[in-house]
Formats: sequence, structure tokens, C-alpha cells
Amino acid sequence: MPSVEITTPFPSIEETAERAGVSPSRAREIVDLAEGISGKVVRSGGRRVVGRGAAKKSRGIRKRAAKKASSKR
Amino acid sequence: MRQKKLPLRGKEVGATDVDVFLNIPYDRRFVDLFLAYTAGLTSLGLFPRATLEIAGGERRLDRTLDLIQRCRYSLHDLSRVEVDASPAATPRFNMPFELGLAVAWQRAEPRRHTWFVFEAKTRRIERSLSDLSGTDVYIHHGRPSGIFSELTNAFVRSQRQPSVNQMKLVYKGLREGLPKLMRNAGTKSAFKARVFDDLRVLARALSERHMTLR
Repeated sequence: MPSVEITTPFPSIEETAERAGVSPSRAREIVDLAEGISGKVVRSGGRRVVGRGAAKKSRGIRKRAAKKASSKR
Repeated sequence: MRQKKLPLRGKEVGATDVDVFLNIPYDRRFVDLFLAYTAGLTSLGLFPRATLEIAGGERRLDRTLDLIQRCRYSLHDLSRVEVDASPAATPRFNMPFELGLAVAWQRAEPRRHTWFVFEAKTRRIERSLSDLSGTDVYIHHGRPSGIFSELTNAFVRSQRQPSVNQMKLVYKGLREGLPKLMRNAGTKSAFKARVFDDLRVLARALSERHMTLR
């Protein structure tokens, strides 16, 4: 595969913003957004999510059990 | 013949040796790959350009040609060769047409332009565009990681060459930030001029951060 070598320096964020037609204030907002994004750690796995169906079912079971208990009293 | 330069969005600052014309389909299914190209090119210190920057009014063809001529490189993704599903079913001619413009421009000015062809499937281009037989085609398999890998094959930096993993981090950041950029622009599409402007700045900021963390 042919490849080309890039020798130009990396454009700065300010230069990129200027070339993209983004105002300095908007560029600052975007940089802040980038700071927020890159600080986050995305992990696979973690807390197991229980489906709503199971929650509903358990709520229903609790409800019926409560009714049964109250009728026995 | 001297070509008259037509105005585009943004400012033309400094050399255009970093400018890369991105010739891709603008459809929802392509958003991830669009973000991957933006992340990968920006990580390489390049500046993606696209016809998204072209406002209405002037003749679109003139502006497209003008944009290609301003760019040192062009990437042509010919992976969407299917007929558009929305009625009436129509094949897309814009991407091969713009590739043709870039090829002609490179023939006229070999030192000022270099074009690359990207595809999702190996050997498909031999059927879809047999005129390109013998041309090296970069195969990305329709995946962002494939795009990063092929971009690092196409472009080499002697200093600060980004790794595929760094490109992935920038890409993940773009995916995370895209909804906010679209909300700010009041649109539901990633293929809008303002979103593209902001994405390039976001990609640059993210790449700066991930490169310094190296």
C-alpha cells in the first residue's frame, strides 16, 4: 500500500477553530466539553442491570402477598 | 486557466497541506464511520473538509471542485454502492463523480493532490468501478477500527504518529459529544455544517489530550 508522509506541524486548537469558522468563545465551550468527555472512564460490565420486567413482577408478588396477608388478619 | 476561488465557510488560514477532502455518503447509517474519519484524520494532524461546508446559492459543482483544489489530499469512500432505499430508489453518483474530479485534478497537478479510495469490501470495487483496476484500495470492513488502521497505512508521520488506540479514544469522545453538538446546532443530523465545524474542533481538542497522555 502506498503511503504519504505528513511533515506539516499539528495545527493548534485555535487554528483549527479559526479554519472551521468557530468563534473563540464557542471553541472554549467545545474544549470544556472535550475535557469532560476525556475525563470519563467507560467500563464494560459493572453493576448488573435488572430488567423492569423483573421489578414489576416482584412488585406484583409483594402486592399480592400483602393483600393475602391483610385478608388473613 | 486561473481558477476563481469561491468563498467557503470558515477562514482559509495558512497552508492547505493539512486539508483532506472527505468524500462520503451523508446518511444516518454512515455516522459512525464519518466520526471515525474525522477522529482519525484529526489525530494525524490533518484537517477534514467536506461539501457540508458548501452553502447554497452558488453553483454547487464549482464550489465542490474549488474545495477539492484547495485540499492536498482527498479520501473517497465508495462503500455505499447500494441503491438508496427511499423512494424513488436511486443510485448515488455523487461520490464516484467527486472521485473523478479529484483524479482529473491530480492528473493536471500531480504535486498538489493525492487521492485515496476506501471501501468496505475486498474486490467489490472491481465490479462497481472497474476503471480503478490496479489502484490500491483501502479496505475498512465497514468498521471504525478498520478506518483507523487504513488511515495509518495511508498516512505516516515521522513525529507524533498516533496509534490506532488513540484514534479510538478520540472517536469515542466524538460519539459522546455528538448529541450535545447537534442539540447546540438545533438539528438531529450529524451532517450539518455547524455540527461538522464543531466536531473538527472537538476532535482536535480530544486528540491533543490523548496525544499528550501518551
